[in-house]
Amino acid sequence: MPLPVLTKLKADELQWLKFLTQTMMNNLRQVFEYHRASGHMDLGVAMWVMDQVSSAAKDIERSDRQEKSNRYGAAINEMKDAYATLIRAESYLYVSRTPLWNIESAKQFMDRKYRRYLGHIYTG
Amino acid sequence: MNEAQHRFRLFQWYFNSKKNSMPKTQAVKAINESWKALNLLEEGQMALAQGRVREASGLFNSTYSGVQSALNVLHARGTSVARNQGYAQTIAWIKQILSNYYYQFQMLYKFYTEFHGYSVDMLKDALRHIGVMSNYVSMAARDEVTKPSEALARYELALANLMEAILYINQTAEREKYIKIKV
Repeated sequence: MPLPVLTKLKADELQWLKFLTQTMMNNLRQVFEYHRASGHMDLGVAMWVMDQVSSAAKDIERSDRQEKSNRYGAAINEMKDAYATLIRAESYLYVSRTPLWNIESAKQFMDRKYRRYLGHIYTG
Repeated sequence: MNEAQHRFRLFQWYFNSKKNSMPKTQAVKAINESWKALNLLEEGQMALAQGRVREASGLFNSTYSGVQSALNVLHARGTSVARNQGYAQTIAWIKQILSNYYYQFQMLYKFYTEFHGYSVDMLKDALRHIGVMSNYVSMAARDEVTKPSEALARYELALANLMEAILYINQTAEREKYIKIKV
């Protein structure tokens, strides 16, 4: 039997989010390795980013469990958490690289969002 | 203790990602260093369980330094690899990152415009950065062989603008209350 329209929409949205989150996760891992191998990676940054990735992976697992029980709304919310966590890690990893500090709006974004939260490892 | 454990996990992660590409002697050296640190960590945990807090604290500090030594073995390799491989390798790498992130941008853009109905106007700042990114990529491609250091700097600026574009899309989604970035 086909899914009701609203459920179908939610299922589609979940597939989108899942795909986006997985893409972000892969990209994040790759750029992390680039920063590390090029010698610009600060250990404090590395540890923080790893924590975020692991937290996102847990959110994804929770989302998958919700999806298996056909609770698409809850699955979407968990996936959004993973997505938001990766955005934060990605932004921080990105602006933590010194030569790129001249990107003003990224700096401001990070200042506004995370300075208080990141505290001691914030390098700006 | 958490800090010591955390750093140990970091070492394991680095090591696993690099173990197949590093010389065997270096891998052995890194592993030996990490074993020493692991022993200290276990001794510290035991001391803590037995209520010898001060001693445990000392052991955790030593664990921390021990893992740092192991990490330095891996790091030394990473830095010299980056230096020795020269610009060509680094440029190839950053181009791959650019290409992957551009794909991410396209997917985000499609998701918010086609699925959520965001207008082009709402995402115009992101598109502006994509325009700037394209210019830097063209300039970098032109100089790749003759002036590789400049080309690399331009590829990085291209990546910077691409990341800015992604940032703008996500900020728009946050403004529209679709996502909430936890702080």
